[in-house]
Amino acid sequence: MIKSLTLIVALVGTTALYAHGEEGAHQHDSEQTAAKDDQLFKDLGGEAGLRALVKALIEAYAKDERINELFVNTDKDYFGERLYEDLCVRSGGPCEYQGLSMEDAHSGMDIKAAEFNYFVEDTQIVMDKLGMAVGTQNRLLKLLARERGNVIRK
Amino acid sequence: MATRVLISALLISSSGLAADGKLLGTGGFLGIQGAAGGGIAPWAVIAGYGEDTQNGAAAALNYASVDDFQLRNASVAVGFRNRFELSLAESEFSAEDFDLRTRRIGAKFKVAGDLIYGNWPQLSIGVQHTNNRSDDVLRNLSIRNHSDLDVYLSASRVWLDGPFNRNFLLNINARSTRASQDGLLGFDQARRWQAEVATALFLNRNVAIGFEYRDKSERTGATEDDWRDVFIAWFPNKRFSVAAAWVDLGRIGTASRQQGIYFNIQGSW
Repeated sequence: MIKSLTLIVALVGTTALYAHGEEGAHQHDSEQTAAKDDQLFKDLGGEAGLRALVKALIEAYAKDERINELFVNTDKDYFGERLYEDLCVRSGGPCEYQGLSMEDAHSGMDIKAAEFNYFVEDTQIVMDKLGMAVGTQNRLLKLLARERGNVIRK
Repeated sequence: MATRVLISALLISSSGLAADGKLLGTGGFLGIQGAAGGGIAPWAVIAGYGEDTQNGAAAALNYASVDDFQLRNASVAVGFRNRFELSLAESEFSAEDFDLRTRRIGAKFKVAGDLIYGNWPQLSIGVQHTNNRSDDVLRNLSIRNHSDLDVYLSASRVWLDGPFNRNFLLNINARSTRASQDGLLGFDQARRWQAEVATALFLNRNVAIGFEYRDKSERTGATEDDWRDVFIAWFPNKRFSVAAAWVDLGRIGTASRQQGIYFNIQGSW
């Protein structure tokens, strides 16, 4: 038991230190949903790359029968602009988000946990198709995942 | 044995299950104990790909071949609303001159948190009833208790963008058990706590590597070696996965250190 406890403490400690080191002072994940510098924005391809990503994402969401009904009342162009601004800000880019809060934007849609994951997967598949590195994808997903509590079941 | 288990799984799954709401690779494996998680110990995850508005099922075949023994297992599990899991596992442990068969029924309940999202790891409580059906063999070995109940607490968490910007899973269990060699050699009188740890690194969405460690010490009056394995798993889609491992079961009975290969092949609905 001592041996196992030592191993567990070592693993958890290492992991906690790693996570802590990456995020700086913040341990309350829901507060920090944007990158600290613009490296991720650059790795997403800057303005051109991110615009291409957003265009591809909207096409993918519209094709996904599991979630496209959530968009029936959505202006695609408006959504595309806001999504670009949102991802730009999150990845540390030079943008200003001009839309509603995540909670207000999704209020009344009662998005299910499963549906949130369908969005995540569609996003991952699009990023794969655009040849984005796995690490870059995960960095963006981590920032997006923190918004889940404001988006689902509202 | 395997056929009956898998037919049950198909019957369950044909009753309108539509489970694909979890991210790829986050339903875990059905290991030798039947419950969802790793190969040699369960995790806090609920079986199948169902999220909280869905039910899911999985069925798996496990095969291990170590120096002097082989283990064959068929497991099936159903997950309800990503909250509650039932599992059944039939195992056959073969030595040169005897076989040991166990049947395990398991139930697991997610009590708090989430594997990936929010601020709390996923916490589950599980129970596992093992019935060693090889009464003659155990009697010959003067083992009196042939069935018993394990209880365990599991905590699992995936960190997105972890080491090397890869998604990383850690699971820790605390298990209360009287089992001798996982129930293969029956059960002791004294209950004890044991720890189990598993980690997995998702190289990408479809491939994970990791290791598992099962502490099996603290038995009074007898030593038992810890179990450990290193594995690689492939999840091409949410219907099928396969994993391979190098496993070290230590000494079993009077046999010297048992090492070898382990395979898991699994279907999900």
